[in-house]
Amino acid sequence: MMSKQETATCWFGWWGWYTDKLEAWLETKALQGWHVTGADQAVMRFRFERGESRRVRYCADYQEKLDPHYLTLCQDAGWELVSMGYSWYIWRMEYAGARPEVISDLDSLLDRNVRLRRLLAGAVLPGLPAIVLLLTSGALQRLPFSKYLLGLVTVAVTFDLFCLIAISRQNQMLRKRKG
Amino acid sequence: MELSKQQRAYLPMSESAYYILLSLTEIRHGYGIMQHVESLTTGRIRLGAGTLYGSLSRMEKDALIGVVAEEERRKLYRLTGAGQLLLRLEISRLGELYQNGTRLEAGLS
Repeated sequence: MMSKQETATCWFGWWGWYTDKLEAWLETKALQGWHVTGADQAVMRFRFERGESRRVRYCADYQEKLDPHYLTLCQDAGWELVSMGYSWYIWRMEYAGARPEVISDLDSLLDRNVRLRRLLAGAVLPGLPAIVLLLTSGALQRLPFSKYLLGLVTVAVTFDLFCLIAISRQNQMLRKRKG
Repeated sequence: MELSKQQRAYLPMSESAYYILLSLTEIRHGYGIMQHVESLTTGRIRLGAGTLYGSLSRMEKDALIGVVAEEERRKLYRLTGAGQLLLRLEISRLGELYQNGTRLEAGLS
């Protein structure tokens, strides 16, 4: 008779410009015998399956578009695709010696952060004049649930600006490391 | 010699960019480049697949390399004329560094 496979689901919050924490967490889980079987679209809710303890390198990589050549190149290099969602790809590879990397230089990290910043800036900045117009013209007050709407917009814009500043700071640190 | 804007953006080259261009003096696909660079540097440089994909995309866009064929979702690349010129400039720069280094090495205690 087959034994029932032990599974678990865990949440993990992480920032796109600082993937080390997520990667280290997944690696620790694999050492404890918990191996990812998938994740949700936001790549924050992970499904695990219990198995043997293994040393596995996990890498999170951001790509703006789905390119089959990218997938083939990573697979040729020995990476297994664990999950993909909202342009994020989670790769893994079992290793014994040197810890493998999907991103092997600082220039590529800087480039990834620039792409992320472009995405975040594009999400909110073009809409800012419209938001300002809504606030100053009084049109917002005439809309139903205007207070909630205003709160929602404020939170979204503040969060976006926070992310943009955090990415810039992270890139400053990377440039310092690069020398 | 006046460098173009594109040449200034690539020079001096990162080790990754230098070895990628050097590998493409012959036709290779992405994984072939990774293996060639690792072998050339006796394992010192192991290009990450994400890093290599980004570099190849940028170099292709800048017409330093071109796709000569495609086999089972693998692009085969080769240096273009502009890529060869850029690589020659970098080799010349590295040659000057090396020559000056060896000339003045005797002064080191």
